[in-house]
Amino acid sequence: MSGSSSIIKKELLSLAAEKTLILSLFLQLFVAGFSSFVGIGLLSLYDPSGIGEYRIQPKIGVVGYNEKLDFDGIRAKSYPELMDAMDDFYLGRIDGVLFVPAEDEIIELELWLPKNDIRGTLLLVALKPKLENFEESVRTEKSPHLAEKISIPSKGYRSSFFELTYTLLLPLLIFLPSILSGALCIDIITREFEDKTIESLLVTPLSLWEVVKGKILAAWIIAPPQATLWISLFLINGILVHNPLLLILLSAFIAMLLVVAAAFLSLFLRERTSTQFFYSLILIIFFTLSFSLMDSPVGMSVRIALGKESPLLPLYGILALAGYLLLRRFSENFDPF
Amino acid sequence: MLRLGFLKVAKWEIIRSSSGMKPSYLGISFFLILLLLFFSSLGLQPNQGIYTIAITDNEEIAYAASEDGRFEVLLVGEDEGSLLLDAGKTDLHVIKDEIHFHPARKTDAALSALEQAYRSYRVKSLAESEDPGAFPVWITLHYVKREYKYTFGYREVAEQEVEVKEEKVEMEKKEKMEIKAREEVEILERVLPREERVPPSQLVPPLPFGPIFLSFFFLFPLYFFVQFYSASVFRERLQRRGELLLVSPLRREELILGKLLVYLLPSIFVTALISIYFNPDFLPLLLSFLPVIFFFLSFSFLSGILARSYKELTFFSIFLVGTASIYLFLPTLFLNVHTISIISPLTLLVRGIEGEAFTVSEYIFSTLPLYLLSLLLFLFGWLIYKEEILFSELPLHVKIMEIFRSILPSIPELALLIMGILLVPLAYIGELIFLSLFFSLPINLSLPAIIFSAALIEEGVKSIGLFSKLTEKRLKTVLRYSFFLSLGFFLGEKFVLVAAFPLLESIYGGIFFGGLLIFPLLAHFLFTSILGMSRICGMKFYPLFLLFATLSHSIYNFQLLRYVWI
Repeated sequence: MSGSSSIIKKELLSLAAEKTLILSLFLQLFVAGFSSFVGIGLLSLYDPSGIGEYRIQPKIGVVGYNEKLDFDGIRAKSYPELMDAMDDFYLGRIDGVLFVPAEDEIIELELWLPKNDIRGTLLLVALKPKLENFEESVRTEKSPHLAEKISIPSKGYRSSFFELTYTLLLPLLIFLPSILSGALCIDIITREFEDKTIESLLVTPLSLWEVVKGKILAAWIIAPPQATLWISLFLINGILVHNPLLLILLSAFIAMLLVVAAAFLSLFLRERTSTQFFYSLILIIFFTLSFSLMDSPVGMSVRIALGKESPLLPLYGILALAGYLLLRRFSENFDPF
Repeated sequence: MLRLGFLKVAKWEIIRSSSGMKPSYLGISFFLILLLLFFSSLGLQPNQGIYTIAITDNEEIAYAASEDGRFEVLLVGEDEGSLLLDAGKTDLHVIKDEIHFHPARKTDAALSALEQAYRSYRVKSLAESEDPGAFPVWITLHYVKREYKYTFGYREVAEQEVEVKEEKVEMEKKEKMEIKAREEVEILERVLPREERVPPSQLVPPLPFGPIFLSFFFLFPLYFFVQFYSASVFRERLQRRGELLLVSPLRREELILGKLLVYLLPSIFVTALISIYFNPDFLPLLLSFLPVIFFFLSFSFLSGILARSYKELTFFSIFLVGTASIYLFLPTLFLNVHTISIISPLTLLVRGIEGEAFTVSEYIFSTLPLYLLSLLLFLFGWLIYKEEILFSELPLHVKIMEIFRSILPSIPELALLIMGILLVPLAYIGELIFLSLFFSLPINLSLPAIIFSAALIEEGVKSIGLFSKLTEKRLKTVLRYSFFLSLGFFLGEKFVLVAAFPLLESIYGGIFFGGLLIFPLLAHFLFTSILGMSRICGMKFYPLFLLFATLSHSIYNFQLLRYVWI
């Protein structure tokens, strides 16, 4: 036991000496900062209608009139002639032109928007509910039997920002430390093989398992505090996170799983470049799968943070423990030469 | 005589890197990639079941909510539902046509999600009803190209766009007299592209940054090449194999070129393949991505030489990816909105994907900084690819200073002059990164922020050059050295000015380059001397002197800008 703890101590000291941990925190802060900075961009890839709350307020030019169509809350200007509206559109005075024809059996609207321009997107986002309401009232008037039966009192708040925070940003920040721990574990194990220092280490009374154990624990131990830090940042920013302790536990389990997987890969391949390559491939698969399933680590973290029950959480603890024991068995019977 | 030793080095590199990759690894990675494709086809749905809705007697809502994966649906009696709602076990409770809820941010989100779910359910059932009155309103969408540029907070349409438009309006004004509004629409439809015709519920706001997403396909393989390259350079030092190579009859440049080619050619080849996939006329795409390849490879070459451990190497590459992403992606987000987007070669790439051309001067402006910087990084790497530096384990900043001392001519004046010129691309790229970070802020914030950060970067970069040579504490030496460094920097800036010409039209350009109009040499000399004073007063005061030099530089730039504008 004391053999492993001296390895842990040595690795942690070297982490501190090379300021790796600081760099890694900086990197995560960068990810967090960057994601809020390009939050708009990210959000728009995720759901373009979510950027409605952005501060640019585009303006629409309207040609024609229909009393059922209202533009409350949108900057609108009415034009008598379509050509005048198009001129202003090209001069940048308005960002879109809507043509409203006279009442008919079927009302054919025309809308011009700028191509590849965020203003076009914003304008369409703002116009869509107005046009839907317009359609609804025209439909109700013409064919009453098709009218809506329930009205939903949504206050114009968009769910996508809420969902983005909990389903993307939160898992990203909780699992990033675990991912980094795995990568770190590869670096510190393969280095012993590449520098051929493993031989001298094993001449000491330490067994291979004690060396590996020291290394995986050193890599693992730095993950939960980082997850704690990010959850506190969420709480400070007024984002309600239920059961923070369960989340930290989950992040610790996943960190252990990844660190164990990284250790297995390193022992098999003993060479950093290919180990990191396979590790990143496995990570991509792990998290792609994770984003698609409800009780995957990502899905579970979302549910825990939203205060839902997660009966399968102990399963990851069992898996982590099983992985740890398997690695122990494996490295006790493993010939490193 | 043409030396072909680099071919031999390239061959070794291929053999060595592939000997680590056993054939079975290829099989495994292929399998893993297939697995990845399969899983990603399942779709990303991390938001499954995040809202709970309890429903009493409303089949329509129950059906709509269960169609939407975000809802967990509970069919309950009225009393049971109220209990669940009060216990916080459900977000919404629907009883017939009433919705009960407690106010909370999550409830608002759930209501909005339910509205979306109900609307899409309605559209579906209306479409199935085949009632002629189901869709009384249709809308036709036209997307029209429009470009404008900013001048100090106000926007204008780009000039050529106005001219084209005026012609169009002239042509149509003649016809306008005779036709009514409906016919006008038809004419515009002939001139402008007609797109989709849908009921309002089917309107999909376009992805404003959609094409930028495509450029990820170009960057992704490059990340892998960069990893392999820097690791290969680093391993040479770790195993001290490079030492053997250096004493071989091969020349340094052959060693470097040979290794580089093994990673450069495949990168170019893969980029060409991806370009062909997007646009058969692939040359513009390849050309606009070329500087990015050079930059990534040169950076990883240098980090392979400078890193002391794999951990450091990992963080160098993360740093590269981080800063490069800001530099490449942020300006591109403003594609078609602002001329600034052309800072990034990815803008040219995206335009290439959409089949639009770019001019030679646009190409030069957009790619020159990266070409220069890559050249500079390779040059550094080449100069320090020597035994005594490669295998020393000095701290990073000492190593860098050591490098500067060892590679430059021994006459300090000449060395400083050269260094001044060489440092300009570094400062230029740094300034562009901050420019793209800050320019979208409101003008009263962005202008000071940009001016200050530009000054800080220039002074910081000059410090690197100055203190690598300046060891004496004599005022005369400080002044003399500062002068030669400033002269070099000034000459370098003149060169960049030629490249930056297109941006000069935009007002932000004036902040950086307007400074070249009057007394810039004198000003640079003054600020550099301020920096140099910290050598006399003691290096622990350096941050203070840097701040002082930066502030005076900012004030100078502010005055200059006022002069230029008024």
